[in-house]
Amino acid sequence: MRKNSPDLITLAVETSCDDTSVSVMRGRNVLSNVVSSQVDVLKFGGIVPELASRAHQANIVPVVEDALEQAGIKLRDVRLIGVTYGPGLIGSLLVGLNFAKGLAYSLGIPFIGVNHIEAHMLAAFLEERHPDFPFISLIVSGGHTLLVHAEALGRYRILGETQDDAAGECFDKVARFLNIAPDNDSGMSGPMVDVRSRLGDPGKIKFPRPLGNSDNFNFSFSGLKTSVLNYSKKQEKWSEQEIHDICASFQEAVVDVLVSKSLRACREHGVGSLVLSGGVAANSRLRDILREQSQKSDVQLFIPAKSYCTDNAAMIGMTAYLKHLNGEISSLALAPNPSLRLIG
Amino acid sequence: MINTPHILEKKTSSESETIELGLLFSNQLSPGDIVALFGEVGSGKTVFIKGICRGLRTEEPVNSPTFVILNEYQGRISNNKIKIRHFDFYRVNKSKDIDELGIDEYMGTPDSVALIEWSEHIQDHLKGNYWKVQFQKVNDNTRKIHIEFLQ
Repeated sequence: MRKNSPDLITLAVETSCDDTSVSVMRGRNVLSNVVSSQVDVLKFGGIVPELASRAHQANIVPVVEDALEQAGIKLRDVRLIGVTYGPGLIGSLLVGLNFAKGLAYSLGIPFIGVNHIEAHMLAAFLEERHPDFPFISLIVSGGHTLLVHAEALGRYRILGETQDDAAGECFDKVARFLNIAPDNDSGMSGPMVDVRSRLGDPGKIKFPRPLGNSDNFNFSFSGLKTSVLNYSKKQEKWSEQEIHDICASFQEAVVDVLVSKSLRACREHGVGSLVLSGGVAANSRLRDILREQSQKSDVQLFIPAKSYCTDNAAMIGMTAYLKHLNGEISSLALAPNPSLRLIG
Repeated sequence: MINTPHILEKKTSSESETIELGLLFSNQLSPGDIVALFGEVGSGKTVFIKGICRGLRTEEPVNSPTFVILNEYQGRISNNKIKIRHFDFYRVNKSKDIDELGIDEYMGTPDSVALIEWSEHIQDHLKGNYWKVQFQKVNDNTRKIHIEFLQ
């Protein structure tokens, strides 16, 4: 195992679902982290770019060029390629993976296929203040909700995961029932529930806490989603304040379950560090309650910067870098795996 | 499929009854089949699919693919291995976007069974034979499920 390669230049590519993202790193330091949806020029007229592998295809070269330019690095100086190979949408994964393989082959440098979920956990290492193994990782996004015991690099145990909807998906759907307009930046409705909730009373409506008291670490949000939907149909029209209250009460139910299970996982596994990541890590109530409860439980909490929590290539680069230090390398025969699980 | 009724309507009054119905229905499926599910949010589509997947002996967890659009699981029909492709077109509602996804290449292939949530959004792509399953909420717990084989 190599201890450190502080000057190694890594180029990382992430196209698993929503955005085309490319990052350039020197050692552990992020030099650039470009995400296509944040580059206006690349937005397709009328087409939601994240849905189309052809859009990834059109985006990838300009995003790579942009990332290299921002980093002040020439392509010939890149020594390692990292790329997501699953889980995600097959067509989108193919674009990124084939591009990365081609690049690695033509530059004569190694490439490492990265599991998107593992990268969400290891995003914690992008920060100066980061945990050491072992830690408990709570990953919450539009597509994933799981609790993992990360024992060492590559040694993970899934303690629990959602049995139906991901937490982020539930936020988005609830926002749509309540006709809450999407956020201008992300185009997602879910984050607006957070904004509305700040003006609402989280104790106003008692929504169920699905699997909240079960003794395993699994989650279930579909029943909560349906009960918010049923509640929202009770009246033809709701006042603004009533909508704030529904949002806050729904959010409280989700946060309650996420926080209590995460801290119980730390306690039962005797682990003193907790990492929160994934797009829903941006939720202010989740951050506040988790911070408050971690402190009470004497657990160190780590939350990477927002740009490292949502889907991004820097977390792919960090994962590839750590695996490289560990002596790992991927074969050019690596195929994308849309339903890749976290194993090890 | 020859000896089975082509139309079935049933009411379920709990999640576990919906799972049970999906499980029973899975016996009707052959490799290459397409099952198009219709119905609003919370009407039991994902739950029904959990039942189908249990019947097809999937070992992976079956959950909502709303964000990734497609989940793939391993399953079995008789003793043959098949791919179960679990689609969700909630986020995709423009015909152009659907063309871009190239889904036609993934549906109805002889090594797979396609289970499709939010089929409302891909009506134009449903050609040939397929199972149409409609979900209707009667009240908080009761669902009316209508299954039909369209030729």
